[in-house]
Amino acid sequence: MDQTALFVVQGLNALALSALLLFIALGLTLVFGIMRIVNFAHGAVYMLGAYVGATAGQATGSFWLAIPAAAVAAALLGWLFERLAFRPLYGREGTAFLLVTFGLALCLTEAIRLTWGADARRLEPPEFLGGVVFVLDEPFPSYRLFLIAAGIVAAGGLWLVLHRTRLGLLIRAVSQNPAMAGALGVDVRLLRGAVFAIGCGLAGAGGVLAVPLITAYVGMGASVVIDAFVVVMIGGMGSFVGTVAGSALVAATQTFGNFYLPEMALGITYALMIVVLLLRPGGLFGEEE
Amino acid sequence: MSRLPWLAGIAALAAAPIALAGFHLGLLTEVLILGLFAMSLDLQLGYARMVSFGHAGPYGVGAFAAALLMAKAGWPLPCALAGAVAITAVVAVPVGWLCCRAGGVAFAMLTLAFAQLAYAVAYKWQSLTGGSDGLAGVPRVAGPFGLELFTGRVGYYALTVALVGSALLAARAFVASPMGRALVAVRENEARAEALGFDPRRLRLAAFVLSNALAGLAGALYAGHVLFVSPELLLWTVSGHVLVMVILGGTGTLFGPFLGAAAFLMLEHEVSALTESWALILGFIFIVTVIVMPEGMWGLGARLLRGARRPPAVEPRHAAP
Amino acid sequence: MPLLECTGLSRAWGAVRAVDGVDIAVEAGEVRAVIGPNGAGKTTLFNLITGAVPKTAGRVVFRGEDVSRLPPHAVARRGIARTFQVTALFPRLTALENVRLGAQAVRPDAMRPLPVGAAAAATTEAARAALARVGLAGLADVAAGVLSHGDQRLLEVAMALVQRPALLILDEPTQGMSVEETQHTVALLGRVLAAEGTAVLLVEHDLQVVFALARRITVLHRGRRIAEGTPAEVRADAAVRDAYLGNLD
Repeated sequence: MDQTALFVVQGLNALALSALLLFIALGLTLVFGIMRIVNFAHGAVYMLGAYVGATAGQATGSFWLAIPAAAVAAALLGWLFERLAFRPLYGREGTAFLLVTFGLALCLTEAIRLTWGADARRLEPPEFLGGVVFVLDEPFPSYRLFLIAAGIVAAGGLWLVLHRTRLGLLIRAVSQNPAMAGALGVDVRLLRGAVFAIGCGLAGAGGVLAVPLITAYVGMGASVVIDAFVVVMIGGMGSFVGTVAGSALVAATQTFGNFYLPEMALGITYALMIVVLLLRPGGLFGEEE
Repeated sequence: MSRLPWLAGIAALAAAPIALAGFHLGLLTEVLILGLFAMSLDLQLGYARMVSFGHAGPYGVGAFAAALLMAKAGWPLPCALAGAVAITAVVAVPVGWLCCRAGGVAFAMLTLAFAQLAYAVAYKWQSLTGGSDGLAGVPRVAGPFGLELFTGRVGYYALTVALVGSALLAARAFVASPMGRALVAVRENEARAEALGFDPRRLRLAAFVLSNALAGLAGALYAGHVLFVSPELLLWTVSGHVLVMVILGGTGTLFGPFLGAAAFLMLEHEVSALTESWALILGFIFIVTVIVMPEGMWGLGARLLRGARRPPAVEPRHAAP
Repeated sequence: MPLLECTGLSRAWGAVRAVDGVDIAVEAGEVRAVIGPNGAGKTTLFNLITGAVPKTAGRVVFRGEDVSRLPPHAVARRGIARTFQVTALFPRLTALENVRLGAQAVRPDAMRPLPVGAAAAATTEAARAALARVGLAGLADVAAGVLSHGDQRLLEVAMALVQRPALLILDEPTQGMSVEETQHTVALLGRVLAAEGTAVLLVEHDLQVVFALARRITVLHRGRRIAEGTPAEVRADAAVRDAYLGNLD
């Protein structure tokens, strides 16, 4: 096999993986940046998206309906959880938020296990995405190209919302100074609910998009959330650019590491994280401590 | 604190082998082990506000170390337990050093990540750990010098009581020591504590290593108790369950976690008999506890007791008829 | 050789030079005030000396030792105690425990993981004495967070004094106090400092406090030192009048 073609195909694989990571990590970063909360249930929400999407896809026979179904279900859950569990906690110390999101992760994982059972669920992509395209004469699954496009659309869309819309302006105002934004008449509580719902919705969409590749299974949340944590820690907590860069870096390390050093695959992500922590504890694009 | 509750506790624990049937003695042993596990987390969570989401890590490492030392190296039970604690503590130093570089939220994420790493290693390293099947039939190896004293059911219970009791006393001594007080100072106001001359990172690392070593002891005792270890011990849900015990029992109290562990096991046994969804109910109870009862059962009890005693002191006119 | 000698201390945040090449030396037993208009860089200067903020450039030599690169806790253990501009206490601990922690922090067994018995009693005694010296003996068992603002400022002074520092850094000790509280605090500081012989570096907005306590004054303006001398010299200095005193007339 041609070395160049091989390298390009691996590069595309890395991009597809980084697109999936982006969906999860962007939600984490958004919520952390605005609410200073790390959502430890983010992986479980992603898993919820996967199962809801797989079920909706099977019921309707449409992949394109599965995506909004998953995103809306996840966003709805986030919105409800913000109202019921976060609202009584605003003003308490940060530990309480860590703990309730962790509790949500426990609950949600268990609820999914009880609802869908232990068997993995599948979801087929639409027919025209089911085949392969040829890149430098090498076959490459077209679904992964679609993932890359979806990742670009999600990141670009979120950036546009944050920087080009009134909602984005309000969100950024709240992130910089909630008290002042509140004093200026911004409904801070409503915005926080919206932000948490958007973050969860992104994770849900990421979940359903992952199903054609890895199926929906109990445990997918825990493994992906670690990768997402590594992404945001490498990029810098709450930094949009850092999250994009972190996703690319983690995906590239994992893809090329798996290919060239398969026996070391497990440790590669951790090694990357440790190196960044040692050199730049705040992350590549994080604020200096 | 008066001596009476202590004496009553010791008497109850001593009478247990006579009063309880085999199954219940085993359950009590498990409560003590899980209580120790939860208490070790309380050292981080309650006294240093270090929220570890990966406490299953040292627990599982201790369990595997003890099981392997007995099953493969043939070490006697007490030596295997000591070896497991030593191994856990040694592993905790570099891991803690890395985790304590980052504060707060990043600490929680890192501890979770390292525990998941341990899980993945235990899962993949089949030749050593038995992979997903785990290691069954771990022997309680009796050494020379009559150490088989501890290998029976009652003997193992006695060993557990002695070790858990010592660990509790050690933790109390630590909390009352200059280092324990300095740790509380860092928890309350880090910049202030540092300006006074306390090194926050060193304090956190010390708390982390001590906490992990005690969790390793709990894991080792658990391995010796059920005579079976598997990667499941390292799963993130185990880290979640031990957090539930600490939060439910009351953080920053050392005793509360034992109460939490007892409540947890009772809940597991009672609710799992009724419905399959006990873990869901558990998670729900956890969330509600964090929101409405952050001081936990021990804290609530202490407050109610104080409240019951206080009125005559605060409002003496009610005391006079 | 001066007790504390800082040369070329600088700190920039992007293009903003909060502290720009400041030299300052404090002799043993001297009470030195640092004054300047808002934003002159006084608090940043203190944070550079204590290591709380990393230096862009410059050197701090304390008792002949270069402490420029040391973290705050190491600087503190070498004999520099400080109070903060915005009151910094352990609000949920008692006043006594706050001061006790100050005393403990400079002991050789400050971070011993085992109980210390008799040493703990000695630390507590030292803390009670320090509380008594600032007039808070009666409030020893009250949580620091519920003390009045003035008492909290005094508690911070007690936490610093109990460490018997060679250099005491006071960042606006009378900030937010009433006129009576300020007079009381100045009298108290004057008494205590005379008795202890501790060198002091003092930032204060209230110039009457400055003139009552300090023999020498350093004036900062926009991150630079523009004058230094006795109160009379500083009052007469044209640059100081322009930058600072003039505004107050």
